This record gives sequence, C-alpha cells and structure tokens, in this order.
Amino acid sequence: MRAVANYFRDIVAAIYTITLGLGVTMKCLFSKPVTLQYPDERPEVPDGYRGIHTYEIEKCIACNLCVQICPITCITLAYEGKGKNAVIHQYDIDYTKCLFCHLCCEVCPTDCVHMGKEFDLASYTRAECVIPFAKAAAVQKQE
Amino acid sequence: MQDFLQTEEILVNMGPQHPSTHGVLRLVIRTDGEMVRETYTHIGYLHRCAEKIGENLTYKQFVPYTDRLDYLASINNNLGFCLAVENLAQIEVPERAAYLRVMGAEMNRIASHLVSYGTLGMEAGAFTPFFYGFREREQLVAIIEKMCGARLTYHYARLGGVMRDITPEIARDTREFVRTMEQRWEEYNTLLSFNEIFIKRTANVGIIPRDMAIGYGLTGPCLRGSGVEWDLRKDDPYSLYERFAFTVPYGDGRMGTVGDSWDRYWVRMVEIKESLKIITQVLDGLPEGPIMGKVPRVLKLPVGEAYMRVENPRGELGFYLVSDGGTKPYRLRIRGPSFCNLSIMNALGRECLVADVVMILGSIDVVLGEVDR
Ligand code: SF4
Ligand code: SF4
Repeated sequence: MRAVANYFRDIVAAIYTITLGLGVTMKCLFSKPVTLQYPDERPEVPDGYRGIHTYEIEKCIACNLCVQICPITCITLAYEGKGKNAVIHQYDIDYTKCLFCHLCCEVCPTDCVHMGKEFDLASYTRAECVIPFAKAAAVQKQE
Repeated sequence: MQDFLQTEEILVNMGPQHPSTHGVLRLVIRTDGEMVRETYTHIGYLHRCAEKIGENLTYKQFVPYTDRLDYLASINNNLGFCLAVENLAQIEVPERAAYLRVMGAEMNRIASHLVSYGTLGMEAGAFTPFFYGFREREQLVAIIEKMCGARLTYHYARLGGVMRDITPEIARDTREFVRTMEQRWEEYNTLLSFNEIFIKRTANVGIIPRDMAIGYGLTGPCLRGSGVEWDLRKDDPYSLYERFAFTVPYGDGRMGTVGDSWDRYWVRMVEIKESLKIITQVLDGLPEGPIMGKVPRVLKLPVGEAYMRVENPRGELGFYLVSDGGTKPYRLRIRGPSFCNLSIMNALGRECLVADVVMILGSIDVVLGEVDR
C-alpha cells in the first residue's frame, strides 16, 4: 500500500517540480535571444583577440626569435641579409599547427607580428591553411 | 525448450563516439537485459604524449600545451605548471599577478562547472539546462576573452605572472557577471537540482563511500561528495588562496546516501557560489603593482625536483618536474584528476542499469583530454 502511495507521491512531485522549471523557461521565452545567427551575424571580437596573425614586413629584422620560441615550429622564415637590411622572402605560418599561444608576438623585438581579429580558419585544402605573409605583402606592394 | 529460451549476457560498446561519454572514452559493458553486470573503461584515444612533448620543449614553450590537458580549465592547468617551475627556479610572483591568477582560476572553475551542470542535465534527459549553463558560460568566456584574447585555450598564467592586466571594463563586466550568476544559480536549482526526476535519477546512484573514495585516490568534487573535507585551496594553499574567505562544500547525503551522484553534483553547484565569492574578494582587494616577476630570457632551472599541485575543478592536478640543470625538464610527470577519478568507474558501473552508468560517468565529470594526455 505504501509503495503505491509513494509511487503516486513521486508522480505528483515530478509534475510539480517540472511546472516550476517550466516557469523559468517561460520567463526566458519572452526575453531577448542570446544567440547569434552565424555566419550572417558575426560576433564582436574584443581588442587583443588572439586570431590569425598580421605581419608588418617592413619592420621585421629577421632575427629568428619568433621561429625559435614557437612551441610547434609552425613559422617558416627565409631571408637574405641581416638586421634592417634584411630581405624577407618567406614568412609562412602553418595554421594547421599553430597553437595561437601569442609567444611569437611577445618575443618580437620590433613588434612586427601581431595577432589579429580574424578567426575564420575554414578552408578546403591543407595548403590553404598555410598563410604566406611575405608573399601577400609583396603582392600588395606591387598593386 | 529450456535451451531455446535461455538469456544471454552480451557485451556492448559504449563509445568512443557516444554522446554521453564526454569525449572519446570507450566503455565496454556486459549487460544482462537492462542490467549492467560489469563495466570496463578503455582510454587512450586522445593520447598526445603531452609529458614527452614537455621534455622536449623549454619551460616557457610548454605552458600553452597545458591548456590542452583539461581544456575546460586551462588557467588552472597553466597555474599548476607555472607554480612548479617557479618553485624550482625560485621566481617571485608579484602579488597582483597572484590575485589575477586566482581570479582567472576561479572564473575557469565556474565555466567548467557550468559545462558539467549542462551535460549532467542532458544525460538525465533534460536538454534545457545545457542551454542555460552555456548562456552564462558564454558571458564568462567573453570576459576571459577580453582578459587574454582566447576563448578556450587561455594561456593566461605565465611563468612569473600573468599575460595581461585587467582593465576597469573587465572588472565591471565581472561584477556584473557575479550579480547575474547569483540570480541564475537559483534558477538552475529550480530547473535541475531539485527536479524530482533528476533527484530520482541521481540520488542513491553510484554511491562512493568515504573509504572507497580515499582508497581510489579520488580528489575534487568526487572526494568531497563522499563527505571528505579536502580542498587544496584550504589545506595546502597556493597563489595566496589563504587570503580569501570561502567555505568548502561536501556531500551530506541530503537526497539519499552520502557519496551518491547527487552529492557530487551538488558540491559542484555550491562551488560555483563559493567561486563567485572569491572573485568578488579578488576584485575588492586587488593590490597595485606589476603583473610579471623577473624571469630570465633563457630560463635554466637548477638541478632538482619539484612537485606542485593545484585544485583543478576536477581535483588535484599535480606537476612533477625533474631538472638536470638545462633549459628543458629532464622528466615531467602530470598527475591528472580525471584520470584518477575515472579509475573508480569499473567498480561503480556494476549491477546497475544502463542509464545509471551514464549518470555515474556524468557525475564523475571527466575530461578526456587530460585522462589520455
Ligand atoms: S601563436 Fe604560438 S604556435 Fe602560433 S605561430 Fe605564434 S608562437 Fe607559433
Ligand atoms: S621576431 Fe619579429 S623581427 Fe624577429 S624574425 Fe620574427 S617577426 Fe621578424
């Protein structure tokens, strides 16, 4: 007999607590949505975000420090000459490996590599994940 | 006829790609109908040789790797490793940096417990808590994003200090979050904690008695859920935790037996509240000063060894370092809380229902990134 009573008490308790929970849901039903319809709406990225790098080739002195500090050696640097006269042929970052750790930016003596606000990394091939910053800068200069 | 009707025990694979195993964990369960006779855990699907990688990198370079151990609690992981290195290298950490580390770690603890809240609800069949938990987590992650620029792998605590100072805007946002979270906490309880169905699913399920919890080396909410008062933030304070006032919750068997799944869940919920208290105290008492101590550019550690442990959201996370005087550790060993907590799964997933196995696993709350390393 007691088991039957307990059984029904449980059902009543369940219905009661679910109703309380639904109250919370109802309250939220009439509040502003918190979701974003990505990719139509893009989230606002704060300053200092650690996204895809930006690189200022004119400032780079080819000191190799960023290549050395990078934990996963995903920066490829090829250059001629030294210091201010250095000519950079290649500055590639492989984003299939990059940890977005910011160490390369912190170690740079001339502050020429930064992390930008771009976070969209999707691409069709692996090769597209390697961004050739030096080449991009050269193309920009020609234009 | 007898032979024809006999029942048979069958082995069922749960995972590695199973929605309720929190990552790539494979559970092999021997079932007799709906009853689970035995559970075996198979791990290693996420193994990345983190310890070995650590032995091949300089100390500074390994800090971002610790993010990827328990990826729901990156700042706590960073902190553990940095403390171990700082201990051995005798690096002094400025007070402000220590405070900010505490703030980051506590924010991360809340974020991690919110995920645990959401997923545990989902495992009980309630989908709503997941969204509610993630809504608040999003607010928190946005603050941490402003602090360090990343949303999951924070790399915030650095050798000698922290990455960036907080701005008045971040302080304001954080206070705002504390206020919202306190309200939402009540809502969470209405939604899930005191829901009769949830209580029926978790109370008296997966009971870990006190002795068993200690015997298996459980730490964190799993240990405290069994009624053991043990929290490294209180019992072995690091990073100036002794300056903050907070209480350590532990399981009292309110809904069933001490050490059941509900107790573990409740310990996490109360910890969220306690963390909010700590965050407010950090903001109130934040001392002025530098955020980075003196760290040599090429960091060479003296010959010796150090073991430092921190209270990660899941338990005791320890880093054992052996240095031979070079720039890289000679040996790095990580004592992961999830790994040790998961060891009890074989003992708990026995003579229970299939649905209970899911609840037990959810209440232990493991992160496979750190189990497999
Ligand atoms: S962010 Fe880290 S991993 Fe990425 S290129 Fe810079 S140093 Fe290397
Ligand atoms: S550290 Fe800076 S200056 Fe040196 S090579 Fe890298 S980007 Fe160039």
